[in-house]
Amino acid sequence: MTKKILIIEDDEFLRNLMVRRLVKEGFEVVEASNGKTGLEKSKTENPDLILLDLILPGIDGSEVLVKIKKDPATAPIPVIIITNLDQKENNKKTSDLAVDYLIKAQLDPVEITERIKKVLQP
Amino acid sequence: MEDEKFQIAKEDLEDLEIYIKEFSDFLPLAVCSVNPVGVIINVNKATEDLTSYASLELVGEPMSTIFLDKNKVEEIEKEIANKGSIHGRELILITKDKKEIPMSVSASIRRDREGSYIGYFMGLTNITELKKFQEGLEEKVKERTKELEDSKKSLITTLDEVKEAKGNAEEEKNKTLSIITNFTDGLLVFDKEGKLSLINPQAEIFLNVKSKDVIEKSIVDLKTISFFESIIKIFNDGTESAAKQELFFGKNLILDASTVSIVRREKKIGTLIILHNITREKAIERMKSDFVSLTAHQLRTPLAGIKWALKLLLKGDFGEITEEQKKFAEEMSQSTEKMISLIGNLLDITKIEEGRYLFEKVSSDMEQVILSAISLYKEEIKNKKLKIKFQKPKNVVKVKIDAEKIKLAVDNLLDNAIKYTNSGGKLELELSCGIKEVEFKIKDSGLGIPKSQQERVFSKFFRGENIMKVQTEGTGLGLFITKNIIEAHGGKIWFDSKEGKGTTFYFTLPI
Repeated sequence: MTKKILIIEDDEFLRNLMVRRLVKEGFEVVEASNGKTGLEKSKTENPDLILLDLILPGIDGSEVLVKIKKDPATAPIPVIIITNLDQKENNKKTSDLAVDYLIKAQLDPVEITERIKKVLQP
Repeated sequence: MEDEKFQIAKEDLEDLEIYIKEFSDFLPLAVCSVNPVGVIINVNKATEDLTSYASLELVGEPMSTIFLDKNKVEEIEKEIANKGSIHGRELILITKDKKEIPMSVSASIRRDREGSYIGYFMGLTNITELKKFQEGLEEKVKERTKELEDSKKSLITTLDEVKEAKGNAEEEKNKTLSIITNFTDGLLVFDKEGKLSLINPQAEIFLNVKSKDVIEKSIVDLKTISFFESIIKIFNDGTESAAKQELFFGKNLILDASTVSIVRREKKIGTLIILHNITREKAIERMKSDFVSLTAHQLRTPLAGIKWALKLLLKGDFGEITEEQKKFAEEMSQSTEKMISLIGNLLDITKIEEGRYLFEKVSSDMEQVILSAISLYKEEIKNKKLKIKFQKPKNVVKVKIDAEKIKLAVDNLLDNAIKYTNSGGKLELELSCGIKEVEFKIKDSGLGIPKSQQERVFSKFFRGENIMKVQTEGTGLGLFITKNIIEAHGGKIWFDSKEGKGTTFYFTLPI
């Protein structure tokens, strides 16, 4: 069965590259360019995994993460954080949530896809 | 009977005459008897000695014969006749051999039984010695007067000089005082007992106090004044040598406080605290950091885009590419990585400068931190065929550190050691534990740092001239960041190096 990935990333170029890669690997991809849409789609689209950028306009990535993990409906969905930041404040904020499925990454699409595959392994 | 009486009286009289003659000859005072017309009728032995005339040569001569000023003698004679006596008149005597001798002359009138004027006695005293003495005295007085005048002059001169010096000193004092008063830095002077002896207006403004309320008060009394608390803290902290510290008074005032011991003749006589307002500098620094930070963050996303696109291009996601295209795409990829790491360093620097680089310090195992740093370089160590040795103590060394940052510090040192050591070289790492601190040492057999550049090793963007020729990579930020990390932990970092032989870096961290 085709797995559905929700990608929440505000930079269009990065998003397109990621989508391109994931599609090529046979995933179904849903896109969101801001936190608000991302949160909505996390509920309506029922994704198998969420790729989340930490820096987002409007609702910040970490806030989106908190909301996803607090909502029992979306809480089980594994989240991979895409960030170009290595700032510990941000990492700390998210790691406080102590989510097993949370994977911090500063990787390229090829590596990220490998991680996704690992997380989604039955 | 009458004859007998007369005979006795005559004998008596003769005896008396002899007595008087002997007496007058014995007298050391020259005495002359003079008749009413001024003719000498008798002189004694002393007179002969004084004048060198024989008695017979003088008797019958006018009194004025033996004096230089004849008129004066006549005047004196008139005065004697009128007043009966004179005392201590000065006249110049002329001796037989024409010597002139100063005399003091006294005379007394002679009268007969009826009271008629029958002449006078005159006594002559040689006053040569006295004169000489007087003259000498006068000369001496003159000399002394001159001397006195001279010393008076020099005294006046000295006085003028003193006045001038005093004037200068006062002017200097006024100058100093007006400098202190108008100084844009706040100044506080504590005496050696720790009493506040001076506070300038700027310091009053900074600390929000009035001079009269705080002056002459001891540190203990001043503690109760809110703004003084931090001043007293630095006073206690840094009295030994010059110490600098930043003080925050709310959001709108940041002061840089320097504490300096005032030393006179090798004795400490007080402490000077200089308060420099750095609020504006701090604001600018923050703006600069914010700007760099923002710019760096903004650069990361497009750089990540380039990195990703190149990766996919190389992966063949955009179709087949030729070997040449692949080669260029790989080089572009490397350049992008370099830019990303440069931005990472820039961000680290802004963080260091903002003073918020360290996060929570947690008790961590130093050995693990070092091993995890080494593990990052396994590949490179293997490729360069470097021999690596890590000597560590038997016991676990736990130190309260920000492990991520210390790992970064070790990482930077290791990275340099590997980068600047030729293939087949040696790396020796050593961790040792003392009572108060742990020491980490990393020794390489690499290129070394030229002596002329050793001073600048820890400064931002420093890169050794010798390594630039062989290694174009590197940002020159690693050691700067490392030093800041170690110092933020209260540790020390240093090195020795010999060009061509290798370098050893050391750092210590307090336990």
